[in-house]
Amino acid sequence: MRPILTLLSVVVSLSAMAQTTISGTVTNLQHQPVGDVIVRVTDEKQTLAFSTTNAQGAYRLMVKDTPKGETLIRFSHISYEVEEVKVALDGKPQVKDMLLVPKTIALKEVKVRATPLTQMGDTLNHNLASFLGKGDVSLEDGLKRLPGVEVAKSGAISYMGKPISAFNIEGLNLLGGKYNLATRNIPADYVTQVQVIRNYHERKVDEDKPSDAVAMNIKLAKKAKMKPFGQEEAGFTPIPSSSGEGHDHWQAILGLTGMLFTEGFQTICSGKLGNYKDYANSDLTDHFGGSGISTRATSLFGGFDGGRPPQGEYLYQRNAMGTVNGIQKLDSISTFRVNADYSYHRATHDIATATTYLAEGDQHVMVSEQTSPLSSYHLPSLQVNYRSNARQQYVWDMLTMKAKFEHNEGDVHYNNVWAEQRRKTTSLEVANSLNFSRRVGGHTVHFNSDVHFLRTPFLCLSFADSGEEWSQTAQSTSLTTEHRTSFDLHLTKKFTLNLPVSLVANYDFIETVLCAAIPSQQSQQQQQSHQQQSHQQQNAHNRLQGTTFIPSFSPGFEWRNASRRLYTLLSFPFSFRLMHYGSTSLSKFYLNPSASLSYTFSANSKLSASSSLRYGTGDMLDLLTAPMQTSYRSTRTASGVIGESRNWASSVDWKLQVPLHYFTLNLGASHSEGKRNTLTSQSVSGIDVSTSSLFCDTHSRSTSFSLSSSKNIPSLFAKFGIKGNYSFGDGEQAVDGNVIQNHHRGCSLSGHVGITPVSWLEMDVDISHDWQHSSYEATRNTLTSLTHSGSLHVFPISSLDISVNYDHVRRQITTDRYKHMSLFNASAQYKLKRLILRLELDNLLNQRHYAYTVFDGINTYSYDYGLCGRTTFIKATFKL
Amino acid sequence: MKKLNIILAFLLTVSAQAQPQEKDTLAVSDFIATYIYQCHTQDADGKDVTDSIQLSLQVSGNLWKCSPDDKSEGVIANDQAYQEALMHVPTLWMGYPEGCITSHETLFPYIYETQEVRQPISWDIASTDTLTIEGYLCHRATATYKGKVWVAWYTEDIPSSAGPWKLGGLPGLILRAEDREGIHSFTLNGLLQEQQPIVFQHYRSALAFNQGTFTRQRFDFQKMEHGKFLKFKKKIFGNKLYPQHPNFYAPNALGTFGSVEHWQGTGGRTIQRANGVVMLDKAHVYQPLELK
Repeated sequence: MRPILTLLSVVVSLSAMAQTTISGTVTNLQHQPVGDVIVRVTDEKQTLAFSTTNAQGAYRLMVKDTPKGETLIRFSHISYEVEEVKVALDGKPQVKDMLLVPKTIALKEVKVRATPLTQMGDTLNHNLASFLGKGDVSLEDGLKRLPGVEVAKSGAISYMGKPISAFNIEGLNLLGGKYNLATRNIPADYVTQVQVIRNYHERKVDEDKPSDAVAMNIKLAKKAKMKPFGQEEAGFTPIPSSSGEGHDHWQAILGLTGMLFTEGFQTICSGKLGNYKDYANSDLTDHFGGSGISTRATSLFGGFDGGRPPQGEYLYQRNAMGTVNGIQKLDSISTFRVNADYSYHRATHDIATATTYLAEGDQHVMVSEQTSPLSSYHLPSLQVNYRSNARQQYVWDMLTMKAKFEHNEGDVHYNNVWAEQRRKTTSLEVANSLNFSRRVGGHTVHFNSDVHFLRTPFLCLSFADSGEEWSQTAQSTSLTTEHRTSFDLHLTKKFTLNLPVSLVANYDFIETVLCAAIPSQQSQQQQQSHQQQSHQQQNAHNRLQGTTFIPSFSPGFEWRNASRRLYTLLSFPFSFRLMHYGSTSLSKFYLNPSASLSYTFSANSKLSASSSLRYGTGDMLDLLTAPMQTSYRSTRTASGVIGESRNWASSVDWKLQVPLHYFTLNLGASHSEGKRNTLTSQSVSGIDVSTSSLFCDTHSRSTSFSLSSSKNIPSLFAKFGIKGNYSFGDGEQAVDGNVIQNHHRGCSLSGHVGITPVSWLEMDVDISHDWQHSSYEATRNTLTSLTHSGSLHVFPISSLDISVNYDHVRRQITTDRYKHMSLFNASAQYKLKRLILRLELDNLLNQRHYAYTVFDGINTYSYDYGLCGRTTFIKATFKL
Repeated sequence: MKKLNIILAFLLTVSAQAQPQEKDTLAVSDFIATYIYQCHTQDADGKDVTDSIQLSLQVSGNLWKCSPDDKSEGVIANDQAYQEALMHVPTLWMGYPEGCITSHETLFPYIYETQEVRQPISWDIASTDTLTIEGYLCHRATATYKGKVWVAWYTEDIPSSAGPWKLGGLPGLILRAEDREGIHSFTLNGLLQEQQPIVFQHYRSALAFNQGTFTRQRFDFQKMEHGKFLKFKKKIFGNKLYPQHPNFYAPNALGTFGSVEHWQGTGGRTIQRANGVVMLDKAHVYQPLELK
């Protein structure tokens, strides 16, 4: 027993020796106690014990494992000099008082900054200043840098590949789809936050419904509110005399934009004109559709514009626009908006085409043409909108009025002969759309009414070729009304029954007149060289009017599970179509079932799948059996039978969005199969091409897979992106009544890297590879293209941005012929406080041609576009 | 009866005017630190969300005030008030009164004031683990506090035992802290050596008549024992109904207070207030900062 007690006493005494208590008092020079002093005992590497003095300046701390040798006691306070004292701890209690000398410690301050990206539920708040580069001027420049946000060349904004459905400024939708006016004219430093709102609900009454829409809201700095601001722009350049006949010898721009944003009222007014690129009109692009006017007549007889190359500046244009936009907040839920625009556009370019047609007996007919189409239009428009958006009731009404006055020339040079083509048309559009929804108890009632009036009072195409002159005229009127009402019955928390009923009632009128060819005086010799069969048509006259009624009932069943992660929608729309045009009538029932399903794994991950079967019918244009001349060598004749089609489409899509890690991934697959009862058949005779419709069943199939991903690494100021797509399918075409099956396969892969390795240097590189394969019968065609482009921005001083960018394209023109093209541009931009001076040097290598080839099943089209030559442009922008 | 009503109304008016809200300046700050407080939770539909709000920490010796305070441009007061209510962020006075913690927190339809004794946190310091945050060398410390295990990174270069929320008591300012489950985190976002008054807001249970914007405006508040308030919060926020119907427990706002104000918030959404307190339309699953 005694040895045990001895052992215990030794252990206890050793234990007591291992702990040392230190206490004391800390005072200042006036011998006043100092509280809140941090007293810390350390060896060379680590803190052994610490304490804080109380209001009386006293402290007491205990060092549990007393080290051998000396230790350091450190006294620190933000208002006093740090003091240290060395002590040798021996396990006995020690008293160490300290006198502190006043001295304010200067802290290394950290500038308070907004977090680059924060998430509030479905809303992602981007602090724009955290993403801006030195050379960024406009809001659009800043948006391009946000993770997941893409801005197309047209200015269209999408998030994670999905186009935004609303663009708001301080919560108000001032511009509708014409948001380029804001993104290209609001300076980036006037914007504090860009909010991306996922699962956006335009209507508050729908807030309980699932949504995959994306909206963007811009929050402005205080300096941009309550006072008008804007910018003036001006620039000019001389054009080399070699640019071509009829082209301007000077290029110049002039613009003035003004804005005002208050809590209850917002306005943006702008006037721009110029002949440098699409300077003025690009601001009025409507990304939600409906920029122009498309009537029955104009869709039948399109213009002679000749398409566009994928890269390079090729248009010589003049454009001008004036726009006044205003939105007034009537109360907390209602707004009144007016958008009035006028735009003018005139453009011309040079193009040479070589088209290889498949003709009867497996013969190939090649037609080579050169043309310099010139088109111009005036387009005034007015939109008036009232919106009341409350949780219980939604009212929205939009009145739209537009007119378009077009003139088009498309003279063609072929076989040493000039053919003249002219087109002139006027179109009008008046539309009103009313949308009303109201919650009644736990249920919701919807009512929509759209009335659309389209009129082309005058369309005239005139042709002159080989001494003959002939013309095609048309006029059309359409009155479309659609009224829908629906009632959502929330039967249980999980189950909702939708009961929509709609009535579509249309009136259509169209008249086309093809006037016979009239030989001109000097045409006799030329007439022998080219027999124009179609021109010898006598007056071919189509005149048709009629009505369409489509009453429909579309019950839908929505179900979601208790956790609301799984959502399914089954819809069974029944419709009855009653069409009556001239002596042709059609009355038939259709059922177009569809199903969709989505599962939300988390806020960042969602799987969606949908499948639908749709039956469709043609329209009155199928009944225009008299020939119609669409170009100097093309005629079109319809089948005289109202076409019917059936299409089954399915898709599956998985999205992974991890905004706080700046990572996005999209995987998608889709498949569709279609069947029609008519087939377009082409006939080639000499250089003349006529199309007609065969009354026979035709099938088509298409499958595609897509992938896209983006990743930002903020610490490296780098953004990476990759996109891929693979598709294959088959379809049918006809030549002189013989049906030919064609197959197609294609894949594309593109990548993007944007990096800022040092603060004065920014680099962007894009690379894409495209492979297309097309075949019919024993004929195989393969085309590849490799495009890479890059840009380099250097900032020798923070206000100067010197940039160079290049595009290099390697395109396959024929089986063993490739064409390389390089475009090289440079610019310098100097930013003063309010003034931005910009020098643009375009097409420095003076590349004057851009050629490429595309397949259209059985035909091959090779294009060679004339590009605008080397240009120097000086531009000044002044922020008002 | 009519006369009695008039007298009562008069007395209430007098009471309201005699007891306006008061503010006391407790100290002047040595420095101000701002933190981003993040909370990982789920929304009403069960989807994962990360909520965040900026906190301001005013420090004067052993007294400090931690409150939601986002002065960034573009952050409007109603958004902040909404986020404050959504994340259940209190305004805290550490060391006021001495040795205590005083808290103000909104729980519709009232503001609650609680007080508790400030308990020292027993930190375990692991000096070998270091991390540099905003240019400051930080050391790692762990402790169990209020039922949660916290990992904190503090810097000895700033001699203050303060920290975000109720965390503190280390031999240097805490620049980052997160709980072991990764639900809550505080990260330094700014540091300013500025002298500002540290103000304590006294609420008075009174009825104020305001002939200006609104016909009447009430600033009701409740005092409650801290432990009881924790249980009260757990009972309300822990209810399954809460995320979908955040005001399920509260009386009808319009009927009780006579008016519901509508304010413009983020992205054009409407933020409702009654009795001066934000009414959440949808809430997120409650993730308590303190379990006991």
